[in-house]
Amino acid sequence: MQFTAESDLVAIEIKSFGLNEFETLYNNVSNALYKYVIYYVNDEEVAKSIVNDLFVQLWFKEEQPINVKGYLYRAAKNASLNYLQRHKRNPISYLEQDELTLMADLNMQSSEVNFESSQLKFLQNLISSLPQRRQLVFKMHRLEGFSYAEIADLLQISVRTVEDHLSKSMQFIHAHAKHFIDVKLTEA
Amino acid sequence: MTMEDQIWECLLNRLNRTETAESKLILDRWLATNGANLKQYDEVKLIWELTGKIKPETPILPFNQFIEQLDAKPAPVTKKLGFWKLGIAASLIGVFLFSALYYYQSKQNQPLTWVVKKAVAGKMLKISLPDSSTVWLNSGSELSYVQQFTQQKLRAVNLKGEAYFEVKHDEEHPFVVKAEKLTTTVYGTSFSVRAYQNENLTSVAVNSGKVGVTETTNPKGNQPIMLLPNDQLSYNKSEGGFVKTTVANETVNGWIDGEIVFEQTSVDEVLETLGRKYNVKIETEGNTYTNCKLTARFKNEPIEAVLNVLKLSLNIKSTQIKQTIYLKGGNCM
Repeated sequence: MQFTAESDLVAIEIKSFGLNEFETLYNNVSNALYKYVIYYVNDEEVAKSIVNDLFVQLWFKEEQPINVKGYLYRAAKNASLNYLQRHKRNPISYLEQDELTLMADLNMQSSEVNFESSQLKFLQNLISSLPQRRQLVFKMHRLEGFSYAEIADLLQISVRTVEDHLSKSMQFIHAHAKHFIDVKLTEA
Repeated sequence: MTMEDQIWECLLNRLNRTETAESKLILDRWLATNGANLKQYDEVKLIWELTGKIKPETPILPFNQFIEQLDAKPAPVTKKLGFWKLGIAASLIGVFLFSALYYYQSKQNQPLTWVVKKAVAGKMLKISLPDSSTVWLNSGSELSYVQQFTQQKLRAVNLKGEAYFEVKHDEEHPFVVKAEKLTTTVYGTSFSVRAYQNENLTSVAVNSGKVGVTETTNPKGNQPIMLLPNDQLSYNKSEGGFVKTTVANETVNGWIDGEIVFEQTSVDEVLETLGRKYNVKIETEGNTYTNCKLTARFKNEPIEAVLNVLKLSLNIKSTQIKQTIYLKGGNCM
């Protein structure tokens, strides 16, 4: 239930950020946002400076946006598209690797991955070996919590394509992570 | 799409909780085929849950360095000025004043920045506008206005959805609400506007003061319809006509205190309202309830209480699974 007490109903006053709150937000979002901007501008230095500017602007905003993450991503999209327009580039030029490039350390022994933290590390490596674009879609959905429709809008692709990227990502991760999941199931 | 791809998408739908009836059917059938499939599902589910625990990657620029650049303002320089330097200072001040004036004028010509406030489903929002008017924004509604609100001739806001306004009195700057096809103009009063895109009726109801309403497309052609306290004006979008009725005060702004009022409201519309208020998704399995009307009043009741009334009065049965409510039956056909 979203609201129970009457005071909750109108209690969502808009406020500015505290330093700790802002630091948490920065640490949680800035890297993912940077990857997102690279998707459009295809230039690491430009992406760094765009993300930096966005957080500076956010810090000096008098009122905190209601959905901060959504606000940041929309602002990042605008900033990226503006940058592309100013620099007369092909509006969308992504890094695209068609084939999967498997990293050497993917075939770790199951004994090494018994603890959850190392399992997560392993999964993280797997995810980062997905093609750039697919990886971005997967992370935006699973790590950043955006819905299919939101991702489609942010990346200017169709919902179908988002679904396809996600299903292919999971197929790939499952195929390469099965072995340590097996261990866990038989142990349980 | 291959068979395999389809299964994977159904599988993800289930993990995502975005499953449709069709997707559920396909997946259940596949799971029932053999044990290997079930095992695969368990594996994928486990991986899915694990990936949700992955921590965000560390920022490219560490936070302390990010914060440093904000503080990195040059330290102010103070020095005793010689007499001849004062002349230079004076002319500099002149230049400064001139450029300040120029800056001020160019700022006047700057494109306007819009501020958008949104109350998502299940939440309400109380907003103080720059002119110190107050707005209560109902669930699933959106209010926008220019940032330079007080510098405009009109204090203009755009509304999607429902809001209650307490407007600060200012004869020289009329307060204007544009919502769907209606424009409401006031000087200082309290009133409520209901203009959800998916509802056929757009309405304006007045609590105190005097309010003028016109059709937005034709503001000059017709005289504004004047409303006094307890007047409510409804505009029928599909047919284009106005109806004026008298309403009780609490109908105008009862929702601010968590009240939901239905008066001969079609159940379809009731469901829309519940979805917004309680942030739930309502599945009717293709049934429409347009012919059923409900008259009821709820104040801060849990959704179960509302569903119970639907069941008792109209025999509509419901099951709630997480944030989705499935409805069945009803004497509405």
